[in-house]
Amino acid sequence: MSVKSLATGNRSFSLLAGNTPEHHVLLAETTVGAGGTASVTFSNIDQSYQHLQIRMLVRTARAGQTLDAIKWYANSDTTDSNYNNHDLYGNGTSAGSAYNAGTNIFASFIGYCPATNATASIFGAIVFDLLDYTNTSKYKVSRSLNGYDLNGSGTVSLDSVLWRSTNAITSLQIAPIYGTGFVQYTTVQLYGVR
Amino acid sequence: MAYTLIATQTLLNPTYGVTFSNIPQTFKDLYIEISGTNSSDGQNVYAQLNGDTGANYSYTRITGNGTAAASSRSTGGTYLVLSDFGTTVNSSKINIMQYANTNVYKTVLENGGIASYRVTAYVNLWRSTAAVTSVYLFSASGNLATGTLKLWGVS
Repeated sequence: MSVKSLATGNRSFSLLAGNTPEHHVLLAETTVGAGGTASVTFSNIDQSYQHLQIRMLVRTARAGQTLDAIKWYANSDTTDSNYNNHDLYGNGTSAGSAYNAGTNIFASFIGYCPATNATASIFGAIVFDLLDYTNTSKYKVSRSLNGYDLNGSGTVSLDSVLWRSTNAITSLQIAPIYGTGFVQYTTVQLYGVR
Repeated sequence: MAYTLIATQTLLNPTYGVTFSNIPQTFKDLYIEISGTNSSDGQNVYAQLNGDTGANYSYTRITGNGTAAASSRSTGGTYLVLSDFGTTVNSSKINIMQYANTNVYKTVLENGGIASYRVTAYVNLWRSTAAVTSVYLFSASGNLATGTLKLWGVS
């Protein structure tokens, strides 16, 4: 679906978690090796695209748990109070919603994933879009579709995150909220969308 | 271009199911768009990977029907469960993540819905590390009546 700007007449494209395939360009990717990694950071992000899309298959090293959660930070701003999250989730039994702000560690939450005690080989999937990431007149918003299923437990959710900054996003850090890092075979791809 | 159109199937006649086979193994993810109708209202689209009819599938979903949100799951299923289709046009967007990676079970993210019925999001798991070489999409009841199914590779 194309979207025409009333202000400029320019056409762009709707992105919701996979829309508009024709205009995506792979900018960078990370595949985590045997030693794991604490976080994934994309630096010097090309400023010539309209939006960013990040596609992830993730699992963390959070000890003693089946579940972990993932967050993003822009431009090395790790102050949680600069972010807000709205979460709509379904855990297989009930649906719920949460608002995370202030110093809540879920303020920049984008999705759930399995952790150490989950069945081996199961990873969580997150597809999220960062809209108008170079626009210095707007705060930045991400939206994600994410989930994991463990054949008896799991969660699927939709999340939005607001980063209250008008700075263009030039770097992006993705990290576990609880775990010490991502495990082997975790993959993260960064796409620019024209 | 990161998304490459692999195949398109346009429904010229109502059909129970559609198969994408001999899927190239050179991409990172698969992305399928379905836009169309079903001959019977409010029927899920199901899918099987690599012709696997065993009890190796499970899902967790969230639904909203305009009155309330709900969530449910299925374990030990014999197919992936995806969004509903009906007699009015609706769409489904399916992400099969790391489909060629033989180190991971396959996780499938999907969202879609019928405007007159409900909106849904699913996460499905196929408990197999096999690379996905074929996808069979079929109707829970009735036939896929009209529309187009497109398979993309994400590189």
